[in-house]
Parts: sequence; C-alpha cells; structure tokens
Amino acid sequence: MAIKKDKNKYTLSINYAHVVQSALIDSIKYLNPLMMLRNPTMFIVEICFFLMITLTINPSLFGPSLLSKQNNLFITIILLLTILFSNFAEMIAKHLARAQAESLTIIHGDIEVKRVLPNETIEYVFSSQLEKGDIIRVKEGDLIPVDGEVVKGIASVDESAITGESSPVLKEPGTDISSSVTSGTRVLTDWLLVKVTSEIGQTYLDQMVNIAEDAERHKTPNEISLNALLTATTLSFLLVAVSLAVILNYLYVKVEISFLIALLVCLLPTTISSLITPIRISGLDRVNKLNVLVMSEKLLENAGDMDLLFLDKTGTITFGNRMASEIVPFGTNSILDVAKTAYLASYFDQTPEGKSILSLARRYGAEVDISQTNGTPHDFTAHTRMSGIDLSNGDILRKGACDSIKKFALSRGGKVWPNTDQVIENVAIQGGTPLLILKNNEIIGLISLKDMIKITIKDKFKETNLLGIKTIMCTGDNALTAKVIAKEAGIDECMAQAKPEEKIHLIRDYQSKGMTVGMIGDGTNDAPALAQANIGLSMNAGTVAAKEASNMIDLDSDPTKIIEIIKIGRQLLATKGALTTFSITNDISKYFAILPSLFTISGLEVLNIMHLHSELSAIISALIFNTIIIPLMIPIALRGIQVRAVEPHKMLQHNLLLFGVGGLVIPFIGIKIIDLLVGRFI
Amino acid sequence: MFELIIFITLLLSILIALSYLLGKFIATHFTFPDNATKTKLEVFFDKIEQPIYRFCGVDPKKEVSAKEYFFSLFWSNIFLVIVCFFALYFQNILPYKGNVRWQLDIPLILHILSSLITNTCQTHHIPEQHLTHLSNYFIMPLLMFYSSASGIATGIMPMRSITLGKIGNPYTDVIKAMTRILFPICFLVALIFVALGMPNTFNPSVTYHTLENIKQTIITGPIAAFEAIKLIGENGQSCLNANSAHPFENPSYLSNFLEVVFILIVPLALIITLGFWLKNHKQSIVILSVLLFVLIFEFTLTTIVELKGNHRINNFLGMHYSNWVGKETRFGIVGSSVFEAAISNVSGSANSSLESFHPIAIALALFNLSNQSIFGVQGFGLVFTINFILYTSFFIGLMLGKTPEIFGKRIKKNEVILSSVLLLLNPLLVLFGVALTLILYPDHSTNFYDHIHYYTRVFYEFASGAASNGSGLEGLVDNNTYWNLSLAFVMFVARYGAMASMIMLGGSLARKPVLPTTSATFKTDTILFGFVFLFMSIISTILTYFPFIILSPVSELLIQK
Repeated sequence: MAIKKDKNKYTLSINYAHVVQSALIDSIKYLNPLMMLRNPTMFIVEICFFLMITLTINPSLFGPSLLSKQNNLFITIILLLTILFSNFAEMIAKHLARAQAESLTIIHGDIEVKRVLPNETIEYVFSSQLEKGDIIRVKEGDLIPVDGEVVKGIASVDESAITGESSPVLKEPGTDISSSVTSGTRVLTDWLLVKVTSEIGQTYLDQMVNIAEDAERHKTPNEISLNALLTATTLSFLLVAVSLAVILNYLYVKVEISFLIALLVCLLPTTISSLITPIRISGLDRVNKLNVLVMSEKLLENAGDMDLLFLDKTGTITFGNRMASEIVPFGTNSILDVAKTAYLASYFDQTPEGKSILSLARRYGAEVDISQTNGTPHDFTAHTRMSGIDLSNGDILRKGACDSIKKFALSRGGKVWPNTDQVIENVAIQGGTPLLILKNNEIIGLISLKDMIKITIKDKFKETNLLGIKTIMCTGDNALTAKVIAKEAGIDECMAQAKPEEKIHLIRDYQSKGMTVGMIGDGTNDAPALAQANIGLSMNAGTVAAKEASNMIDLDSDPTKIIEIIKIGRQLLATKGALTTFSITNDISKYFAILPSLFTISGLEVLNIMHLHSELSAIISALIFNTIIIPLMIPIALRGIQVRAVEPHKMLQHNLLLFGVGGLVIPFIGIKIIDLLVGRFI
Repeated sequence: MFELIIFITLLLSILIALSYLLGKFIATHFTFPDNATKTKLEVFFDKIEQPIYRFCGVDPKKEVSAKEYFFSLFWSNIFLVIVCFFALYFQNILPYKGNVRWQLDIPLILHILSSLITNTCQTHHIPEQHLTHLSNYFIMPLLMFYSSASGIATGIMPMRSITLGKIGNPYTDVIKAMTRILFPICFLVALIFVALGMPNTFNPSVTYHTLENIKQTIITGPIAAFEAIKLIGENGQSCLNANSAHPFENPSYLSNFLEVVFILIVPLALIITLGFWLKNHKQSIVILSVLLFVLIFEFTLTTIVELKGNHRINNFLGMHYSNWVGKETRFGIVGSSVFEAAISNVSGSANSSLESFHPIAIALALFNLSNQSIFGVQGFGLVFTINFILYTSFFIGLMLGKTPEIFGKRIKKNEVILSSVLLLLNPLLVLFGVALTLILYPDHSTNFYDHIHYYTRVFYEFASGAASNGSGLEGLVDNNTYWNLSLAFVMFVARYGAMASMIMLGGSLARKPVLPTTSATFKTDTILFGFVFLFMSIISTILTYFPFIILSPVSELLIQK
C-alpha cells in the first residue's frame, strides 16, 4: 500500500461542476415559500415576485397602468433572479463545504503504524484505518496512535503529554494501571504490542458533513443579532413602501405598483441577507484548511472575542520531553572530561534524552570517535534506568537517574563529592531533571535535563497583544522556570505550580467577569480546563481525554495556530459587518435612482441627479444592479475581508472607506452603466 | 449673520457652563446606592425627601428589577391620569373656575391627558378658553412636573444601568427629579422671569377701562412659574394659547434668549452626567459635540433661509425683505429661527408661527422629530442618543470582527431587538397614522400646493405626537374626535413603548460585566466614533423618512418655482 506522507494532502479532488449543478438545483428547490421563511428579507422579495406575476398577467390589476405585460414580465424575471442568486449563494457554500468534507479520505496528522496480523506478519496502515481489537507494534521512538492495552513487551513510555510529568513510566502487560497506554504518548525504549481498545471514528468528518448539511441550526449569536436588525430594517422598508403608496395616491401622483415593488426590493438588505450563511460556512472551511477541526461555527465567533488565553506548558509550548541543557562537573573533574564521559555513556541510549545528551556534549566539544573505542555497551532499560559502556581499558562509564547511579556507585564503594546533593536539588528547583555521570566508582558530574520550548513558537505569541488578548501560561513547574519559558514564547504571564482545579477556578473567575477564555492544552491534566474554557484547543498529539474535552483540535499540534483561528473568527464577523454597511449605504443611492421615477411631480425633476434614460429604465437598472451585486459579492463573502493585527481605529477607518463610502458610490456608477446599456432597449 | 454668531456663542457658553454644573450635580445625586460620603447638599435634600418616602411607604435603598421599574413608572403615570381625568371632566363642578364654564368632551380630555402625561403637550385645546383656573393652573402643572420627572427617570435609568450597572429605584428617581432638579431650578427660573417682567399672580385677570371707556379684560396668572416648568420640563404647554409669542410669556429679546437656554439645559446636562458616570469626560464631549454640531447647523440653516425671505415676494417688490410672517418683531429673525430650530428638537413651545417658516426649516423640524436624539425631549432624548450609541457600537463591533460592546458591555440579540423596537416604533406610528388619516380624511383642495401642505400638516402632527414634542403646524382643525383620539393613542404608545423598551434594555445591560479595555478595544471617545455616530443617527432617519420629507416640505419648495 502506497503511503504518501504529505501532511496537507486532504482534499483529493472536488468535482466543481457537480457542486455548481447541485447548488443550482437546490436554489430552485428552495424557492418554496415555506423554505424562504427562514430569511424574512428574501421572503418579502418572494412575495413581491408573486405580486409581479399577477401584475404580468394583468397589468391593470391595481388600477390603470402604463406598463405593458412585457415590462412587468421583465421586472418579474429580475426578481426571480434576485431570489435565485440569493439561494445560489447559500447553496454553493453549503455544497462546497459538503464536497470538501466528503473528499476528506485521509485524516490530517495520520501516522503510519505497524499492524500485526493474526499470522504474525506486519502490515503498514494508517492509524485512521485501525479498528478495535487490532494489534499494533510500537517500538522506541514511536508515537502510540491509539488508546490500547499492552499485550506483550515491556517498555518505558513518555506520558508527559497526559500527565504533565516528565519522567517516563514503565509499561508491561498484565497489570491494571501500567498495562494501558494512551494515544499521544511516546515509547522511549524497547517495544510493545498494543491491542486497540478504542474506536477511531470518523466523528470529526461526520461533524463537518453535518455542519454543511444543516447550516440553519448553527446560527451564531452575532448572526442572530444581525438578523434581528435586518428584520427590523425589512419591516421599516415595508412600512415605507406601503405608506408611500397611500400618500402618492392621495397626492394624485400616478404611481405604478410595479415601481413601488421595485423600490421595496431595492431598499431591502438583500445583499447581506443572502450572504450571511455563505460567510459562516466559508469560515469553517478556512479553519479546516488550517488543519484545525472545529465543533461548531459559534466557536469561531467566540474565538474572535477571546480576551484571555491560557496555555499549557508541557507538550504545548515545550516539546514535552526533556533535553540535556547543562553539564555540571563535581570536584576536581573538568567539564570536558565529564562531557566526554557523558557522550560515551549515552552513545547507546536511543531515547530522545540520550540523543540530546550527545548533541549537548558535542556542543561542549566532547565528541569522541566511537570507532576508536572498544567496550561492552549497556543499553538504557526501564529496569536499570541507566546506560553506559564498559571500556576495554577497564573504565566503567555510566549515566542515569540519580538514585540508580548513587546506588551503583555506593555498591562499588564509590566516592560522592560533598556538594552533589545540593547541586541535584538546585537543578530540580529550576525545573530540570538531574542525571548523574559515573566514571568507575566516582560520580564526576551532572547533566541537567530540561523541557525545551518549541522553536516554531518562539516570540509568536507576541502578536496576541496586538489582537488584545492576554496570554497566561500554566505549568506545574516552579515560578522560575515558568517565567523563562513564558518570556521565550512571548507570553504575558505565567501561573506556576498550577493544579488543575486552580486552573478551572481561575478560568471560571475570568468568565464571570464576562471574558471569553481560551485554553490550549494537550494532556489529560488539561482536560477539565479545556472543557471549562469557551475555546478549548487541543493538540492532535495530545491525549484522547484532552481531545474529547476540547472543542477544537489542531491536527498539526501547533499552538500558534490559535492566532490564525482568532483572526478567522474576527474576519467572519467583520465581513458580515462590512457587507451590512454596504447594503445599507447602497440604499441612499438607490433612493436617488428610483424616487424620480415615482415622484412624477413637476418641480421635483431636480431630484433626478443621475439623469437616467427613462423612468422604466431607471427602475430596471436599479433592480438589475440590486440583483447582480449578490453574485458579485459572493467571492468577497467566501474569501472574507482582510483582518490584520492593527489598531482597531485604523481597521475601522479602512473598512468604512471601502464599504461605507464604496457602498454609497458604487451603485451610482453601477446603475448609470446598466442604464446606458438597458436604455437602448427600453 | 453677525447677530446669529453672537447669539450662538453666548448661548453655547452659558449653556455649557450651566449644564456642566447641573450634569455634575445629577451625577452625584442620582448614583445608586447613595454615595458613601455625602455632600452637605445631599444630606440637605435627603432630609427633605425622608418624610416623602415614609409617607409613600417607599424603601429608597431597594433596587428593583427593570420590569418593576417600568411598571412602577407606568402605573403611577396612569394613576395620575385617572385622577386628573375626573378633575377635568368635573371641572365645572370643582371650585376656582374663573370665568370658564366649558364642559370638556371625553376625547379632548383624553388628548389633553395623553399629551401632558407623555410630556408632549400638544395643544388641541385653548387653555384660557377651555380650562378653568383649577385645571389650568393646578392640574396642568401637576401633570407637567410628573411627566417631566418620569422622563428624567426614564433617561437616567438606562444610563445608570449601562455605566454603573445599577437599575435603581423608580420612586427615588422620580422624587429626586422633582425635589433636586425641577423644583429648585424652576423656582430660580421663575424668579428670573418675574424680574424680567412676567406676571406671576393667582389673580386670573385684570379688568380695566380703556381711554375710550371700553371694558377690557387681560388674562394673567402664575405665568412666570408656569413658564419655568414649561421650559425646564421640556413640556411646551403654556397657560396661554399664544405660548412664548405672548408678551407675558416672553416679554423681551433677553427673555427669549434665556428661554432657549432653559429648554436645552437639562438634556445637555444629562449627556454631561454620562461622562461623569463613565469617568470619561471625553466621551460626553464627543457626543455633545456631534449633537451641538447638528443643532448649530440647524440654527444657522434656519436663520439663513428666514433671512433670505420669500424670493417671489422680494422679486415682486423689487426689494429684499426677510421672512417676517408669523414672527414677533421683538425677537427678530434670529431669535425666532433659533428658538424654532431648538424647540423642534426638544420641546413644543413656540415663539412664532412655524406654519409661516420656510419649507427648509419645516423639513429640518420634521427630521428632528423623526430622529428624536438631538437632545430630544426630557430624558427621552438621552434614551434615543444612547440607542444610537448602541447602534453605532453594534456596527463598529461587527466591522472590527468582535462581538459588539457598548461601554464594555456586550450587545447581544436581546439588546438589538429592544433597540430595534425603539427605532421601529416611530415610523410605525407616524407613517401608519399619516396613511390612515389621508385615507379617512383627505383634503379635497384643488390647489395642488394646498393639497401637499395638508399632507405636511398631517405628517407634522403625527411626527410631533410620536416624538413627544408637541409643536405643531397650525391650520389643521384638530380639536375633533378623530384627531384627539388618534393622537392620544399615538402619543401614549410612542411614549410608553419607548419607555418600556429602553428600561428593559437598561435592565438587560445592567447585569452584564464590563470587559477590560485592551489594545483591540475600539475607543468610543474619539472623533472617528463621533463621525460614525453622526452618520448612523442621520442615515437611520433618512432611510425611513427621506421620501416622506421630500414629498412634503421639499416638494412645497420645489413646486413653487
């Protein structure tokens, strides 16, 4: 089976022709007035459309009319197109989202695993293809992809992602606690056969398809507010049109009902009403492209509102496993000697820690050509908790956990320098894990292991300041270490020695002050906080408990993506706001285009500032403009307007100029151009 | 023009100085619960109010829910209306009648009561002819004080809810509005007016023999006192039909100037209070600047068109005359124009005949009545201003991509619906009322100008009723059953609908936590906010009323040519 390791490969292919075709069919299906009721504005347009049909059949239905059947038919067709375009905008977004969800055959972050078949042969498959009951083999360095039970083997496993504890845990079959493994943990030494106990479902996929199918129930709070406002606007324009009919009639001004209908349709906020749903769906799509799974659209809007962001340290900001960071010699030993010993003693240690010791030693210039060295290597095992080499010249070199090495040294009647315990304690206080280095029977030095910050997120969180978000890092470490790491990542504050219940308490506290709180974590110990926070983003490399508690999952395990998610959340709302402003400022220009055709009172010709060809062509041009602006705005709706981390002042100015002033000017130009074209035929 | 500049400069400097003091006063005296350390003045007023609370059985420290707040205000208003209804209906039986023996019919009583309790004071009746002294000098001021105090409470409650997060107590608000704002200021104002020569007596009339030995009766009364509450309370109804054009009510240029100051002082002060409560004076400066900008623009435009006069008459005479029709010479064009532009925003008094003003001036007045937020009627102007701030914040929030917030409180569906109700109420009542009237009682004049003008009058009448303003384009024969009942209904629904929606909105925002300001928070105390606020306020009125204003005064102007 060919396996492509392209992480971003998830959209196999979308049949665009099919998407457009089904969107078209659905737009016609949704002409059903009962279905139109979901959008009051378009429902009124549809009623106008039915009125126009009757006027097409009998133009003098509401009194004598100068308009021919053809004129009315033309207006009727434009109204039909307005409704169809509006439906199409919604349907194309829905169908695109659905097509993308369906074409999602490989889940992001899928890893290659070795499945052990009943006949003991090994088959390479994707983790998403595993089923409950399958047995997989994991060896040192592998990520355990699923929750399962150890059936064979013994190994030390790094569970820092779940527990936040950096020390490895021993896993063996046949015991209650130590025989179960959790997804997201990593095997450090040896190997295991694991039986899959949980179903890896297509749940996220189902979720996505579901969202695309059933967009109506997913309205976000701000969308509900905006809809309330648009409904109020629709009502007031309806009132305007009806009273205008009565007043014009009273003034003996011959008023064409078709023209009044046209005025009403042009004034109604059709553009934004048609595009609200596409904007929402497009946002979800953009987040999915970021390789983030989101449980609902409301979360995106919530993310845009975020005031505070809690971050878990271990596994989120740091790698979650320890790296050698410092070598401390004891007594009269030189640092180079210690480094050389450490290098040799760790050479056969295949755990990440062992490898990190080698690279640290190299930095101290202590690289030893191993081919020149003869000896008996001792691998690191979970039992001995040390590794080393017995050199052919009789030197015994060891490196390992403090108590093991101490015991080993004392058993050989060894020598321990007096300040050893104090140095060990100091390292531990600063958040490091001390390893001792033994040469023969003397403990010559110490290596400090530390959890290192992910290089990709260095300084990245500084951008959250511009977005107005305070970041707080939570860690079980002591304050000193926490501060250092927080500073490196560009995080504002840190909360050291935080217990899970304290985290929840703090989050609740902020929430009661009305703040929207985000939490990023990956371990089981973060799960309660992830569940409590408004936005819980978990890392795909994290544990199942964390993923279940969270409402967003980052498949690439990159916590800085939260910044992009926040921006998308804001972009969605900003796009809605911009198009609403556009829709409303349009009305001013449309008044100037249409009113001269309605107010045929001598003296009021001065109103006709646009000098349109004729009354009828003015009406038809305004209607055509009103209609074609919907499909023209679909790309803006789907792409979203630009959101940058700039001062809100500048962003507002920019958007007001673009969509406010633009909304005022564009219809003047658009209607005039359409009139020049249409005027020839009418 | 020079006169206008001096007039406006003086007006603004006196107005801002006085309203700053009053605004600060309101901010300290209307906090809820009371300040921990009280000033001497607060202690003094507390001592006066304690017996009133005890008598009414009100616990001034009890905070109520928004619903209770509204219904307390509403039912106390209704109670007063019922009492006054009987007083007016039986005015011929009750004592202190003066020379009047007029049996008021029920529709007219309903109109008078609705008009007074809603602080509209639209007058379909002629006070000195239809009302006995008891009705005119006691019942009317009672209603005027109470409606004005209710208005102040309605304005203060949402403002306090949004800024301080406290709903407060309706009884203390109304009583404080009386004892701390209306009574003391009206007392001082009445003294000033007496000094300026207004009569203030319970002697209803002076009868004397002229040189030709004709017996003549001049109606007097407690005019200076009446005038004070008429202006400070934004009521606009006077005990004399001629209102501020009457020499007793407005004897001189100086009194006219002071009347403009007194009409505007409380609405201005309330906006300054907003700054105190927000602890952000820049915010009230921004809002005040926008509102004053519109007001001064209107002052100027009205004066210019009035100074220009009627070009047809001027062409015919070959000379230039300003438009003096319907104006008092002692106020001049400027004094009349500024007064008119001010009252179409806030109150319903008149010192000249609006009917004779230039169509542009009438169009501006109609805009003001439809907008209602440019200072507006007592308390309610503030309510509409807050509503437009909410709308502006809503749009700005959307444009910035964050859930909109008003002064740090998040605006959700509930608030948007309530404020939409407030914005829809006016067009619903006005446009529906105008359409219905034109169907039921069309004007059959053959002269197209008269025909249009009748529509303008009907439009103005409903707009003024729905805006609780009370000014009118005279010429409608409006003391009949249809007009009395329809406008009584419009005024009542407009007032209490707005009151209910705004108090509920305040209640809904009161409990919301205030979000901390971050670098992503849009600052609302900036010029940009002022611009957007101005734009939103104008566009939301224009979008609904543009065709109607074009059809009435503007077309009157255009078809003249």
